[in-house]
Amino acid sequence: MLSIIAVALLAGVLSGALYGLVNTVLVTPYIDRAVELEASRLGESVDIAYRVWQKEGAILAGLLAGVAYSSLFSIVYAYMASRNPQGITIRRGITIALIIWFVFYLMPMLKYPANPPAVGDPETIYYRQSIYITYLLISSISAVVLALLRARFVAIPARNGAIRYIREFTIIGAYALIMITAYILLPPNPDTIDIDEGILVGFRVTSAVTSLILWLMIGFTTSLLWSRTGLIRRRMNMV
Amino acid sequence: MSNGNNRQVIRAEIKYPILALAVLAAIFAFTSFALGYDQGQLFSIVVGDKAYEENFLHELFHDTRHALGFPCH
Repeated sequence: MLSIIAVALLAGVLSGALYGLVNTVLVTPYIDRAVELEASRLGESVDIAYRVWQKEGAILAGLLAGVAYSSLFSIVYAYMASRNPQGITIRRGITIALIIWFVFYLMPMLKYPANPPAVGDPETIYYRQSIYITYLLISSISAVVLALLRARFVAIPARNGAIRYIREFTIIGAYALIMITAYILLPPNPDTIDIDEGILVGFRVTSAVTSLILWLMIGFTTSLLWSRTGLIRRRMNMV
Repeated sequence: MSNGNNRQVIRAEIKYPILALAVLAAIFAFTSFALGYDQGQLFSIVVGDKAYEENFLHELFHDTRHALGFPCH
């Protein structure tokens, strides 16, 4: 028990440290520019000491993000490993990480894109949190339910390859249909986006890139640690 | 002793308790809330309503909240 938790935490800390570092290099410059823009709009100057404190907090938050997402990843990975221990490889771990990144980050971003400071209205924070979580939960729960359904389908022998393809497309199509419906039905972000286009696009692209790095790193380190720490026991058998 | 029909295979076995997964789920829920959603709720348990004004965790994790796409200001 402890080894699974320890591996998840170690993978999380390693991935989170890298994430904090790449965020500092790639994302923080856009946040700095947005904070400066916000201060100039208000006729104030940026509190440098406060920003330094927030940047230090970003390193801590990177570690926390690594631990949080690594814990989630390990639950999914353990389920996959229990179903097919032979197929658990680093490549499989990275594929699972990519799927979770898509479901957990990219899909919510299509409806409620990441925004830099100076965009969000503090008065609407609870409302924005509620619609964001709703969309995130719809994406996550749909993906989990459909993945479990897929596992049942796979267990049923298919007569030919075409039937297997139809099963896969049915699962993907069902997820797409659910998310398109949710996209149409849920309300938009209520805040007006009034910020330099270069800052906005640059921030969103770097945010997507660094979150992808985080998930890929979690997938890689978890798979590697599982295989090196004996969590997957391999025994030689004669048959 | 093996003859020509025998094959040597590697059999992988997975053993893990449900309790470990429950602990990981709890870690995920708590850290995600602190990182992405807390608006003073956690510290208000200790310092009361003052925590909502200070919003310490929100401000400390500010940059990463934005980077991860969580709603912020």
